[in-house]
Amino acid sequence: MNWLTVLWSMAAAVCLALAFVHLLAWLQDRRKRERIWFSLAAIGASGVALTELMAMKAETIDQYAWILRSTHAPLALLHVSLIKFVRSYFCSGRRWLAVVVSSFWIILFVANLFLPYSSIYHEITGLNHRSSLGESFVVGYGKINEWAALACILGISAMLVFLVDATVTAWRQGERRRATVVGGSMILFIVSGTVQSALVDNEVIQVPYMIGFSFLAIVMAMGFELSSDLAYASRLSRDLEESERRMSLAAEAANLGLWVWDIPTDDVWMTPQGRVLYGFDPTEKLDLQSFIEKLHPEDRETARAEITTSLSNGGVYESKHRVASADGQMRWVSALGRAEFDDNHHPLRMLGVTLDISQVRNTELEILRQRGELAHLSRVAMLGELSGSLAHELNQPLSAILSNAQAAQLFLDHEGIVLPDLDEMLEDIVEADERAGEVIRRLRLLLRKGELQMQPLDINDLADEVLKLMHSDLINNEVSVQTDLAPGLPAVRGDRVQLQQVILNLIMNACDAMAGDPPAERRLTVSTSLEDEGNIRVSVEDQGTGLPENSEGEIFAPYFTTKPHGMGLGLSVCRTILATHNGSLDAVNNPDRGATFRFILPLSKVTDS
Amino acid sequence: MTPPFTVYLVDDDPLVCKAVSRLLRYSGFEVADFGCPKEFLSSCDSESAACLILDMAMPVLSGLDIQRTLTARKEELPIIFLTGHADVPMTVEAMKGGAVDFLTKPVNKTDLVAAVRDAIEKGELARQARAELDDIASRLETLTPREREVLEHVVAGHLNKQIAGNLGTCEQTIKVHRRRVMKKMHVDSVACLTRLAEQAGIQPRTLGK
Repeated sequence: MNWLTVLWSMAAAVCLALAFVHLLAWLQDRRKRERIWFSLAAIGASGVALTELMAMKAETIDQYAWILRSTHAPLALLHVSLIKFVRSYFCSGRRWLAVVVSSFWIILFVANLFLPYSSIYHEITGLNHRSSLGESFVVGYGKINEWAALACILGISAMLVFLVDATVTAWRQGERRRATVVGGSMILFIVSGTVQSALVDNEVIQVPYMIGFSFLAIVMAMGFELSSDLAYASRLSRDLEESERRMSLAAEAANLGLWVWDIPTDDVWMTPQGRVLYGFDPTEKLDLQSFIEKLHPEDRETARAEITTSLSNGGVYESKHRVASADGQMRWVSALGRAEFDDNHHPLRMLGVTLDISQVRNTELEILRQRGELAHLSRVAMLGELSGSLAHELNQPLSAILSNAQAAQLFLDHEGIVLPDLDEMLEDIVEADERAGEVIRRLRLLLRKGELQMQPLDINDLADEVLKLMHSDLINNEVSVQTDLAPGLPAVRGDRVQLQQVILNLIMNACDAMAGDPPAERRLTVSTSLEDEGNIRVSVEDQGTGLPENSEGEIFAPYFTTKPHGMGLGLSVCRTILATHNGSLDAVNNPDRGATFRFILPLSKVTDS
Repeated sequence: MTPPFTVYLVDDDPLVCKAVSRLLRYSGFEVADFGCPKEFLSSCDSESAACLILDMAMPVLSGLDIQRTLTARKEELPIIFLTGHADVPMTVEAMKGGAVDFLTKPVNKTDLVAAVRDAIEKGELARQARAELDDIASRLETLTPREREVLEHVVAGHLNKQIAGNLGTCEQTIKVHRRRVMKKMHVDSVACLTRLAEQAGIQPRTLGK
C-alpha cells in the first residue's frame, strides 16, 4: 500500500468518522438540523476523497472518465449539504442564491451522467503515469470543455458569493468566531480546491486531484465548531443538573413535592417528597387515576373538576384537598400547577408543586371554630335580650287583660248580676292569661344568662385575641387596623367571652360603617388607656359614616339600627354586658369623620372592694 | 279618727293602670291612679295614702327612683312593687328601701288584694306607732327639767332615797316630783312609765353623780 492510498483513505475515513459522530448526535436531538447537513457534507467529502483515490489508480481512459463522472455525485451532495448547513447554522445566506447554487450542482451531476468524458473534457485523449515522492499515479489529459469550465467558474463564483454573503451576515449578527472559522475556511478551501483542480485539468501541475483535502479541511473546521457546541451543551447539562440539585434541596427543605404530569401519555412524575405526601411507593408508576384515588372521597370529584377547569382556562391549576396518609391521619395538601400547551392548544403537560398545609389549615379551622362559638354566644345573648324585651312587651297587655277580667268578675259579683255564661268566659280569660304569664316566666328562666366567669383579664390581650379572630374578615373587608395599646395596664375583672363579644361587636360595626369608603380609607384604630379614677378605657375608632345626628342616646336602645338587615341588638347587648361589669359604653362622632365607641371598665381591685 | 284607705297606683302603661285601678276599686279600695310618676310625686299626700303600688320599669323615673325620692322627703308609705321580671340586685334595693311586697306581672287579683291589705295593715301599724310616739313626746314636753331628771332615775330603777342623794335634795321632794311625773305621763305604775321611756328612747341615768 503506497502513501497516496494511505493519505486519501485516511482523509475519507476521518470524514466518515465525523459524519457518523454527528449523525448519531442528530439522531439524539433532531431539532439540531445543522448536524445532519454536516454529516451529509462529510459523507460527500469522503466520497470525493475516495473517487480521487480511484482516479489515481485508473487503468484505462474509460475507467478514468467514469470515475471523473462519478465524482460529481459526492460533489453535488457536498455542495448542497454545505449550503443547507450554512443556512441552518448561521441562519443567514440568501435563499435564491442557495437555490441557484444547489440547482447548478444538481444539473452538473445530472449532465455528467450523460457526458462520456465528464463535463470537464470534450475528450480524454490519454493517461499520464507519473510519480511523486516515489509513488506513481495516473492523471488524464485531453481537450478541455471550455463552456463547462465557464459554467463551473460561474457556479463556484455563485457559491462563493453565497458564502461570503452568509458569512458577513453572520459576522454582523455577532457570530464572529463561527463566521471566521467556518465561513472563512469554506471560502478559502473552496477557492484553493478549485484552483488546484483547474491546474490539474489544464496539466499545469502534475499532481493528483486534491479537492478531497480541501473539503476535509472545511469539514474539520465545521466539526470543530460543532464539537464546541457539543461541549457547550454538555456544560449546560451539567449546570442544569446542578440547578436541579439545588432546586430539589430547596424543595426538600420546604417539604415541597414537585410533579410533572405528561398529559398525552397520562404519566405522572413526582419527587420523593411528593410521593411521601400522597402516600405513594417510591417506585410506583403514577397516573391521574392513582392520584385521585389517594384523595379523600369527598374531594375526588372536586379535584377532577379543578383539573378539567384549569386545562380549559389557560392552564393555571390550584387546589386544596385532603389526603389520607399512610399513618391514617388526614392531611391537607395544597397543589399549584401550570399546564403547557402545543401550538394547537392541546395540553402537553402540567408542572406543579405540592405542599402539606395541614398545620395552617388546622389553625384556620380552629379560628373558624372559635368564631363560630363567639357567634353562637352572641346569638344566645341576643336571644336573651330579645326574649327579655319580648317578655316585657307581652307582660303589659297580659297584665291589663288579667286585671280587667278579674275586675269584671268582681263587678258582676258586686252588682249581684248572675250571668253564668259570662262568669265562665271571664274565668277562662283569667285562666288563659295566667297560663300565658307562666309561659313567659319559664321562657325567661330558660334564657337567663349563663353564669359569668369573672376573672382578672389583660384587656390588651383580649383586644389582640379579637383582632386575631377577625384577621381574615378584616382582610376581606380591606380594613387596615392600627392598635394603640397602652403597655402594662393593670388587670380588669370580667368574663372573657362576654368582653370579647363587646370588642368584636364594636369592630364589626366599625367595618360595616366603613363598607362604603374607598379601601384605602378604611382605617380602624383600637386603643386602650388608663383613666384616672381606676378605670380602663377601650376605644374603637372608625372612618365611616358616623352616627346619625342626635342619635347618640338612641343607638343603644334595643332594635335601633342603621343597617338594612340589622337586628339592632348588638349595641344594646354590649351595654348590658358592660353594665354587669360595672362599666359603661358611649359613642361620639369624630371631629373629622367616623365615630368612636368607648367603653370603661373598673380595675380588678376596685371591683373586688 | 278613721285611717285613710286610698291606694295610690303609678304605672306608665295606661291600659295596665286603668285595669289594676278597676280591679282594686271593685275589691273595695279607694284608688288614686297616676300614669305619670312626676304627677304622682307632686300630688302625693302621705297622710291620705294607705299604700302605694309602683311599676318598676318606667322611663325617666323608675319605681326605685320614686321610692328614693319619697324616702328623701321622709314620707313613709308602704310600697308594693309591680315588675315584669325582678333581678336580685333590684329586689334587694327595693326591700332595703322598705318595700312591703314585690309582685310579678301579670298579677293575680288574690295576690294583689292580699298584698294591698297587708300593706295597709303595716301602714296602719306604723301610723299607730308613730302616733303613739308623738303622744309620748308631747307628754314628755310637759315635764320640767327637774321632773325629766327624776324620770330618768326612776326608769333606771333607783329608790327615792338614792335619787334624792344624787340630786342633792330631800326624799320628800323626790316623792312629789315622782307623783307629778306619773300624772303628766298618764301612767299609774313604774312599769308603764319605763315602757314609754323606752319607746321614746330615753336613756336611764346611772348613779354616780
